[in-house]
Amino acid sequence: MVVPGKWGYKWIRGPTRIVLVDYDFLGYWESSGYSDEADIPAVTPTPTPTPTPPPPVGGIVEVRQDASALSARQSNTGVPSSIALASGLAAAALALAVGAWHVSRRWSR
Amino acid sequence: MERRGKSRGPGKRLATVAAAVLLSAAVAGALLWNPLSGSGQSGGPKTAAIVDQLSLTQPGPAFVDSASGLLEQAGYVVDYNPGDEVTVDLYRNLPSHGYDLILLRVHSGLAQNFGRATGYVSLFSGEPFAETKYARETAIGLLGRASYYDGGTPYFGIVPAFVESMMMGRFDGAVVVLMGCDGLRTAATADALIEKGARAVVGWNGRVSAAHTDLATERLLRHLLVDGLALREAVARTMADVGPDPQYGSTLLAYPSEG
Repeated sequence: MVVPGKWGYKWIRGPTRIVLVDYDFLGYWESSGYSDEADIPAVTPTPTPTPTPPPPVGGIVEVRQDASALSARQSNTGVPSSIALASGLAAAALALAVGAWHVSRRWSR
Repeated sequence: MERRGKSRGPGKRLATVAAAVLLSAAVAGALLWNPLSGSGQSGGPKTAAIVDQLSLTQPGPAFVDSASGLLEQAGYVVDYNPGDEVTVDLYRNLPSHGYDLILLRVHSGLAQNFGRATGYVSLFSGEPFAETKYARETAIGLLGRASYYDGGTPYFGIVPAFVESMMMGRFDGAVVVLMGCDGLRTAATADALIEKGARAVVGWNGRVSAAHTDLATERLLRHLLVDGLALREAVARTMADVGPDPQYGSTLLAYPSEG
């Protein structure tokens, strides 16, 4: 006998006798911990996969030192870049030493 | 109201009017000028570069073919740089080639300094990051450690200070198209390129997908090279054609936005 909506351990085949009881009889599977209700959960439709958005052509960039102030200093001096770089490096080292490094306004727009 | 000073004769007035007409014509010409028409910087053929770092992750052969074809039909000599050739040295020497147009089809992203936003965008190279390579430049923030996602393979990233300090030569009026994310989200990187001699920079004000930036850039080239539009008009027409990025909503802009 098939019991719709119940798992197979509630189904029976080839009964040889029927015993009437006045309590909730627990069979082999129920005594082993299986649900006495044995309800089969309602089937939920598989959700349609949402299309994966195309990845952006971006990423994460970490700089160890914000060199924008260095660059701003150079652009204001109008001196050749190699000289400006050297003086900028010195300024960077100094700023690091005194803890006064800051983001220049020019780059933080 | 009486104007003070010497009275002007008819000859001087004529000269003043002529000068004003010439000045007006020059201003109008500058506004309507197509930077990609005419001959190259050295009087020879115009040249363009496609710097295709993006080919490492999102190859776009159709875009490369189409862009190269449009450029070559317009008389350009095109240099193509695939992703593994997009090294720090390639960026360093980029201005010295005298390109009239540079398409930077590269990943880019806003740089951080120990988690704090710096306010400038960094351009990805295709050169794997190594602690011992360019150690000095990395230590002082001229190069960054760039990855596509948190914990991803790191590459060297180019920052504006590198553009100004380490790049050799000058761009001499080149138009630079930043095809990656956030190129014009802030003006910092564009400012660095312009201070290095670029005439104008085109880029996105937010994140963008490879498909959309390819589509928009191809359309931009068509408006510039085939329709002969001025840069800002070409960008506006491009946006009218393709719209903002459908996923990320970013818009293509020209910088400077005036003049």
